Amino acid sequence: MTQVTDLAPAEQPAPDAVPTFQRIMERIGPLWTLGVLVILIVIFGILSPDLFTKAAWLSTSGYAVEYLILAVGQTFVIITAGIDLSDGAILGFSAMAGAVLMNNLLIHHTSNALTSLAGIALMVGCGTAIGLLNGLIITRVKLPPFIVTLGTLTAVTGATDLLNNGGEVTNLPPFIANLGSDSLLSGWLPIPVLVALVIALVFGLILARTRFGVRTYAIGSNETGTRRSGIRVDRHLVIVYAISGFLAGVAGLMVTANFSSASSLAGANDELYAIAAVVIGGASIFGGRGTIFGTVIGTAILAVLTTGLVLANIAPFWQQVAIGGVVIGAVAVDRVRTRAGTD
Amino acid sequence: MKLNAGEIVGLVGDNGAGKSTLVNLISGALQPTAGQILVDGQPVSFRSPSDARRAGIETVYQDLSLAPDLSIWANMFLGREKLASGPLGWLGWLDRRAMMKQTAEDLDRTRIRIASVGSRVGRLSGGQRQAVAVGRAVAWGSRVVLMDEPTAALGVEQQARVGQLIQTVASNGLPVLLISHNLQQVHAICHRIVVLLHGTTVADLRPKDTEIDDIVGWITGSALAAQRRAG
Amino acid sequence: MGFSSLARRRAVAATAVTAAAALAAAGCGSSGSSGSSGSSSGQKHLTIALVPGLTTDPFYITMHAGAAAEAKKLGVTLTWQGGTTFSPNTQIPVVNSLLAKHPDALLIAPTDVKALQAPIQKFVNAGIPVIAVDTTINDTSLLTSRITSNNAQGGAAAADTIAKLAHDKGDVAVDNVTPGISTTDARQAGFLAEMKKYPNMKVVATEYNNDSPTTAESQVRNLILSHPGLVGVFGTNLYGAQGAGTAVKAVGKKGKVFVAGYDAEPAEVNLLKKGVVNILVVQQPAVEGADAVRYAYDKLTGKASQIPKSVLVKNVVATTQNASDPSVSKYFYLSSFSG
Repeated sequence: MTQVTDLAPAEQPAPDAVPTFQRIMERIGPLWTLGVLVILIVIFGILSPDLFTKAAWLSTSGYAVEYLILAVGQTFVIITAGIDLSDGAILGFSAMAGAVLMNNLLIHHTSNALTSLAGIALMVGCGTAIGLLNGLIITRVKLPPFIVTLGTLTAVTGATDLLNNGGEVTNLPPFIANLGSDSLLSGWLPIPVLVALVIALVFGLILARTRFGVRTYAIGSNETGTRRSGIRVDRHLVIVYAISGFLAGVAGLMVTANFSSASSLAGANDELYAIAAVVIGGASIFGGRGTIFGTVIGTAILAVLTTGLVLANIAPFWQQVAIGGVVIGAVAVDRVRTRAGTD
Repeated sequence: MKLNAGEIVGLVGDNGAGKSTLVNLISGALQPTAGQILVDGQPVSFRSPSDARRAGIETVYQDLSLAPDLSIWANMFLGREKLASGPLGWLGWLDRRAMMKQTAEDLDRTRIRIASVGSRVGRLSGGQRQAVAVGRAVAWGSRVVLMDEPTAALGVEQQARVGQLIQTVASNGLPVLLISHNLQQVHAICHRIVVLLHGTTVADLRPKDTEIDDIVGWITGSALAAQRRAG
Repeated sequence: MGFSSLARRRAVAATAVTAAAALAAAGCGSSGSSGSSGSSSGQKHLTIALVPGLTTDPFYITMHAGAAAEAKKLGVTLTWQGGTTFSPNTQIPVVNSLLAKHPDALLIAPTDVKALQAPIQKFVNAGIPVIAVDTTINDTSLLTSRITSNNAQGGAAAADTIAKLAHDKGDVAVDNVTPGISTTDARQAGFLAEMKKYPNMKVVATEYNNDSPTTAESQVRNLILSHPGLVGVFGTNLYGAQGAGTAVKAVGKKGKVFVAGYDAEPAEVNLLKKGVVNILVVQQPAVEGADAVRYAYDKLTGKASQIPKSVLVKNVVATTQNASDPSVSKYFYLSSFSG
C-alpha cells in the first residue's frame, strides 16, 4: 500500500550495518511473489512445454476462478487479523440454494431470464446473509473469528445436505450453463475468468484507494487505536465478513455455471486454498498487511503448480506436498521480509 | 483544576491516584459521576471520545494508538480521512495527495523532521512515532492536548526532543496537560504542576518555587500530612 | 540492527528445499509411465492417459496394474494422473490439464455423470477418443466405449445372499456413496429391485456417506440402534462396506446383522475373513483396465469396428467361507502398484 522510503537523516542506520540480503528484500517488496510465479512458469515450462498451450491456460485459469473470488474476500478478512474458515461451506450452500430454487422455478415453467435472476439473487443473498451472521456473532458475542467461522462451516455444510438430501441439482436454466461455457477473445477469456478478474480489480481498488480500505488495514494493524479514533470498528468488521460471504455466493454461482450442476461437494475445503493464496501473496495472518494484487499472484502460483505438476507427470501425492511446501516457504520468506521492515 | 491557553500543566501522582481516570474523563472515554467539565467557561458533557474530539480536545495515549502498518499520513487522518470530490468521493475514494500535503505541513509546524510522510509508522523510531502521535493531536486539537506518559518508553535524547515538542505546541497557544512520572521533565517544562492523591488534587505548584523532592512529598502524601499537622 | 542471519538463511533454505523436492520428484521421471519405448511394427508411439476416480483407492490401483500390463504387451505408454478425492473438483483440473498434453487416448472413470461431460467433449473435439471405465457420463455418445462391471447384477447378488443368511426375513438398509455416481446408483437399484422378491423383508433406509468410512460407520451404528429388526446392510462400495462392518463389530452384532459389501480391498478382505463382513461382490478392475487399453489401441490402429460400445464385466462373489481359496483370492485388490 505505501512504499517504504527514507527515514529522517538523523535516524537512518549507517548503510553497511544493514545486511545486503535484507536490503534486497526490502527493495523487492511484495513483488517477490511475482518473481516466484515467473520462476515457476519457467521451470514447469521447461519440464513440459505443453504449459504454453491454450488448453493449459484454460485449465489453469478455470481452476483458479473459484479460489480467486474466495481469496479476494478472505484478503479483507485476514487484513483485519481475522479469518473466515466458512467461505467454502458458504459457497456450497449458496450454490445449492440457488440451484434448488431454479430447479423448482423451471419445473413451474418460469422463464429462463426470471429463473436465472432469482437463482443468482438467492445465491448472492445467502452468501451475504451468512457472512453477516459471522460478522455479527464475532462482534456482538465477541468470540474469536476462528471459532465462529469454524462453527458456521460445520452448520452450513450440514444445512447444504438438508437442502436436497445430499443430491445433485442438474436442471438449470440455459443462462447459467452459458455463463460457464461462454467466452470472449475467441475462447481465450472464459466468462468466469473475466468475472474473477473484474472482482479482483474492483475490490483491489476498494482496498487500496478508499476510506473503507484504509480502515480495514487500520483495524488489523491496531484495533484499539482505531476504535479510539472514533471509527465504528464493529460495524466495519461486520461488513468485511459480509463481503467474504457475498463473494462466496458469487463463487458458488461461478462453480454452478462451470459444472452446470450444484453438488453437496462444491466448495468443500476451498477455504484452505483461499487462505493459502492470500498468505502466499504476502498478507500477514496477524493483520495489517496484504494486497489484492498479492492474492492474485498467490492464487496464480497455486493454479500453475497444480497444472504444471500434472503436465510434468509428477505423482499426485507430490502435488499436495509441493503445495504445502510452497505455503510454508512463502510465509517463511515473508516473515524475513517484514521483520526487516518493522522494528 | 484549571488549564489556561498556552500553559503546560503537569499532572503527577502515584499509581492509583486517579490520573488515568481523569484522562479518560476529559477525553470522553468515561462519564463523570460528580463534578463538571467546563470548556471556555461552558459546561460540557462527553458521551464518547468523539464528543470530546469535536470539542477540540485531543488525547495522545500512552500506547500512541498508531497503526504501525499504515503510513504516517494515513495515521494522521485515521477516522477523519479526506475524500476526493465528486462521485468518486461519495464512494469513499481517498484524496491521498491532499492528505499527504497536509500531513507534511502539520509535521512542519511542530518542527518534526521526517523525510517522507509515506513511510510506515512501524519503521520509525520511538521518538519519531511519539512525534507523529503528538503531531496528530496538535493538528486536530483546537482546545487542549492531553498527553499520557509520553516519555515512558524513550531514551534520554528522545525524551528531551519530546519535551521540546511539547514546548513548541504550547508556544502556539495550545494548552497541554502532561501526565507523567518523569518528574525531572515535568519540573523542567511545566508552568504548573498539579498533584493527585487518592483522587483529589492536593497541590497546585509552581516549578520555580518547588524542588523535585517537595513534589515527591506531595505525591506520597507526607507533605499533606505535614500541612494538616501544621494547620 | 541485530537481525538474525540464521533465521534468514533458514527461510531461504525452506523455499529451496521445497523447490528442489518438487523438481527431484519430476527428475525421477514420470511417475506413472509404463510400457516399452519401442514397438516392433514401426508405427507411431502411442500414449494413453488413464484418469481414475481417485489415485489412492485400491480398486483403481488394481485397474492401473491391469492396464499397465496390457500397455506393456502392446508397446504403448500409459500415464496415470488423477485427484486424491473422488470429486469432480479434483478430477476436472487434471483432465483439463491433460488436454494440453494431447494424449492419443483418454481412459477415465468420471466422478460425476454431468460435470465431466464438458471436459470429455473437449477431448472428443480434439480428436482424442475417450473410453469410460467403471463410472460413466450421461451422454454416452461421446464415448468410444464404456466398460464397467455389472452393477445391477452385483446389487442383486448382495440382496440374495443377505436374504439367504437371514432366512428371508427382516429389515435391511443400503449405505450408498453420493447420488449421481452411475455405478453405485446401479448397485443400489439392483439391490432394491431384488429385495422386492422377498415379501418378509423390507428396505428401511438408504443413506449416503459421501465416500467417507467414518460417516458410513456412524450412519450404520445409528441404523442398528434405531431399527432393532435390522438383519442386513449393503454397503455399495468399499468405504460403505468398511464402515458398516466396523459398526456391526463395534456394537457386537456380528453374525446377527449381515453385511454385504462391494469391492475387495485389503481392509475389507480382512473383515471378510473375520466374518464381520459376510459377502463381498468383487469386481474385476484389472480386466476393465486391460480391456480399456486394448480397445483404445484398437481404435488408434484402425480396428475401431471391433470395439464393443458397452461392456459389462462379470463380478466374482467372495464369502467368508471361500475367502482363502486362491481361485477367489486372486481377484482381491492391490493396495499399491508402481510402474
